[in-house]
Amino acid sequence: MSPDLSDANVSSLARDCAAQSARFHRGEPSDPCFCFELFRRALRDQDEFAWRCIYQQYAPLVTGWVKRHGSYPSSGEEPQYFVNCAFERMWLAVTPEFPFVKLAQVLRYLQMCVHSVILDYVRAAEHATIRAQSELPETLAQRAASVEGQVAEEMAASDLLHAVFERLNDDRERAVVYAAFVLGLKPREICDWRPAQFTDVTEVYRIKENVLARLKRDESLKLVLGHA
Amino acid sequence: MPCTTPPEIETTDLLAYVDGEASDRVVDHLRRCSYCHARAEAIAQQEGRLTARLYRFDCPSPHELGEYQLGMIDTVRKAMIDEHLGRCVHCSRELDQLTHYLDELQPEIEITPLQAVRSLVAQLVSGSRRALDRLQPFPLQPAMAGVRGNAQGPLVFEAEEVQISLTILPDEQTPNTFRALGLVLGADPVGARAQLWQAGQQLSSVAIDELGAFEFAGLVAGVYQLVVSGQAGEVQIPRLEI
Repeated sequence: MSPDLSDANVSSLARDCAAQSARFHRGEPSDPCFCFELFRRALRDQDEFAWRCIYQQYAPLVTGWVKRHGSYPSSGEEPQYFVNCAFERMWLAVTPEFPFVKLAQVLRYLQMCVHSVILDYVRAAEHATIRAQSELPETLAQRAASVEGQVAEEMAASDLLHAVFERLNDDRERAVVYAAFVLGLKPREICDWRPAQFTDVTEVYRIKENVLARLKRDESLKLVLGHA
Repeated sequence: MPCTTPPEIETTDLLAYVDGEASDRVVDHLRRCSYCHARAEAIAQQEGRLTARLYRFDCPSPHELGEYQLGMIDTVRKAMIDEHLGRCVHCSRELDQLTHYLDELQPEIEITPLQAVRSLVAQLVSGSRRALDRLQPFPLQPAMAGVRGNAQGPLVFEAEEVQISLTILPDEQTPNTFRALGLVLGADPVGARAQLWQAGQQLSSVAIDELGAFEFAGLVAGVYQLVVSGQAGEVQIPRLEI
């Protein structure tokens, strides 16, 4: 039975957490209650000293997790960058309700935070490449760069897609537009995406040709897309 | 300015060229014809601007996908993500990547089921009188966690349906050492191994033959732990004093 830790101070919890973690990694029987209580003090009670102890204890382990992520090598960043981002993500994301009942759940959430910060980086790099290739008018690109701009961009994108869909004739045209411009799929990939709906690549190209010609003639969309 | 080498390239071929999938004929024409090349550039610009504004705008964030995977999302949002995953190849791929990543890291945060069997058995030995009794050698000896071996008759340990018989003999080849001859019954010997541990260190690991027999040689007097592991799990003798 685990001891009652409600009166234990953070320093002793940190010390016992370190000792039990070492036992776990040596394959010896270990008690996760001390580390779990340390996480609970840090996240539920927003105890910054407890959080610093957590960071000190788990940063080496998290560094290993970063290095083992499949998308990390191509990022070009040092692992410390993602380690810090992951801890920050967890601190901000976990509510005072602290929805965990055991240490493994907490650590699994921290692993997920590692994945999410790396994927954020990958997605941002991908978006930056797409924007650079589009030669987007400068004002739109600058707006997209700020956080507020990103929210506005998301809403604007939703409205833009709605406006485009209103100018399309049927579900096949809407499927091609969504696949081509929201998912970024080429016609061959669109046929793989919906094989029952699109059997011929040439057919998809024909649908794209008709849609793009129709959108290019639309005066109101010219303003939105920054057409010349 | 008209096409310099008519007939001009069809728009569908220009779209394929922008996608990098045009035929050599089209590529060659565009290399020589500035008019058709300008048409291709206009198409690329139009597509690029649409993509820049719309690309993955409705995808949930990686963090939200993570909470979805961990079952920490509310039912309304879960239903929306379920629907999105049905059409988004990128989020489906990222979710697969997360699942494999968490599976790979699982042993670093929690005892795996096989390890849980080992620790479960160890606890039963120390915490359950019935299990402790069943791990006593036969005939009954005074209740002890381990039994001193001698060269007279086998020590028999039981855990559930598995029975491990150990005979300790002086090792005639090496003075002042012993041999431990073991026999495992009630378990599939295929791929099974016997491991001898002391003070947290594995000293030796031997294969168990098709008859369930194994042997350790050159053992000095002391306290050991024996682990017999197979496909169905592990049986641990936590204290074997020679």
